[in-house]
Amino acid sequence: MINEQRVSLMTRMEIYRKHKGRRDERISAYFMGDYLAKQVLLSVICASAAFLLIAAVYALYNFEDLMLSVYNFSLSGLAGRIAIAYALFLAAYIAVTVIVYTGRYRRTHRRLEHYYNALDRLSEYYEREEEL
Amino acid sequence: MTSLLQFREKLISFYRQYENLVSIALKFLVVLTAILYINGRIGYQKTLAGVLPTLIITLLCTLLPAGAVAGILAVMIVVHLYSLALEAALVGGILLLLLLLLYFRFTPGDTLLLLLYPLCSIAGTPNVLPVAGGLLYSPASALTVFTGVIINSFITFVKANETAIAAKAGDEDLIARFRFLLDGLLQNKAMLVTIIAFSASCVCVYVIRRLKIRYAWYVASAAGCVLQLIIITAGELIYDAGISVGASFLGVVLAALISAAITFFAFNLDYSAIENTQFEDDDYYYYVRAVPKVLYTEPSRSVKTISTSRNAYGMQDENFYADQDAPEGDYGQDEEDDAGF
Repeated sequence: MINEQRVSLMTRMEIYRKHKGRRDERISAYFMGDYLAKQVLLSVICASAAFLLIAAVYALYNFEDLMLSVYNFSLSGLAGRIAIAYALFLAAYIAVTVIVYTGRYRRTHRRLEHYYNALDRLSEYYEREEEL
Repeated sequence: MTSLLQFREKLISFYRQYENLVSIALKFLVVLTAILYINGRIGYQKTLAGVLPTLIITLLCTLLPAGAVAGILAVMIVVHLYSLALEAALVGGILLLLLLLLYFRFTPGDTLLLLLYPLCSIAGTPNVLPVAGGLLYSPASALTVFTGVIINSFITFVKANETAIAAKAGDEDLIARFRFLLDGLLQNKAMLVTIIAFSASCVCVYVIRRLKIRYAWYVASAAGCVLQLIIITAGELIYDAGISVGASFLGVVLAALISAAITFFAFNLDYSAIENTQFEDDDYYYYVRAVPKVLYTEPSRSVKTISTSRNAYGMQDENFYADQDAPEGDYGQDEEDDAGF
């Protein structure tokens, strides 16, 4: 005799596992701090590459002006301005990364909690069936 | 209304029955449209724009996830631009790389909106994408639509100025062409107005559809469409951006109709049968408002008359069993089958 409630529960659990479950399990293997640290590190790399690209485009766009005024400005001042711009850009990108991935981690945790509760209910179904 | 509900149920039932085939067919159609759009506009690499490569790439992309398809289309764009001019490929490549590093690094789940941009552009209603993003996804869809607008604007600019971009010149004009391409992107007022309109519309739709009001999704769709029209019209008046307000109006009207259809399929509620209830458990006291979904129920058929006329079936003999001997045996119920009800 097929227990329809059990089959329905197992089907829903398998659908979750197929779509989001695997990714959620990989994420939940980390503590939240470690997960955020990993994502922040990736973001630093991506933001640095993006900043280099933007700086290169800016330099190419203003190439003529830069060449004309290259002897008139101090390199240390320029380096300072670039460093401040990089720091602000990086800080903003890291802030966005932390917000996005904190939300993702919490949602992952909630979904996994529901999944484990469903696993407990499933084992109760099996225990009841064994008793019968 | 009943016939619409009946049509919806038939469509859902058809999709359930042939889900795999329909999904693959729709994905094939979307990817093919995107590739034909790119080839039609900037198909400078003749080999890549041919029929066989197009089909092969489309078939390959049909099997891949949306993010990978977007990556392949980006590579195709850069290859076509390289055939036109090195500077165009450089600017296009940098643009796509920046979008990848800054936005797609977060793997948003709404890349489908980006892939649908060419199809909606051909249909004259890219305005539906921010509304659909706000209804079905999150306010972050504004960034996905923003990406689509930028890429589309760049492709349109390259197409409109292909002669100037491809003109052979000395090395000293390398920077000039680079600046020309960047100016086409950064000083494109039409693109800026469209980005503001679409982003604001997406956020507005998301905020309103989450409100606890009746017909929230319909109100959100209407508000999003009206906001787009207002911003586009204001932008055109202020900046003289070269946007056709008439075409935008038609696009917005189509967007409103399509978003109404999306709401009908995804969020169809019967507000005339709202139930309010209260109950409590050990931890909380609950105030619950339940709004039933509008479902189509098959009308139950009741048999009112049974025709006993055998002439309708060509049975001329009134006593149909007259020429057969009745089988022997007891016609009473077998005791073993008696369930005791």
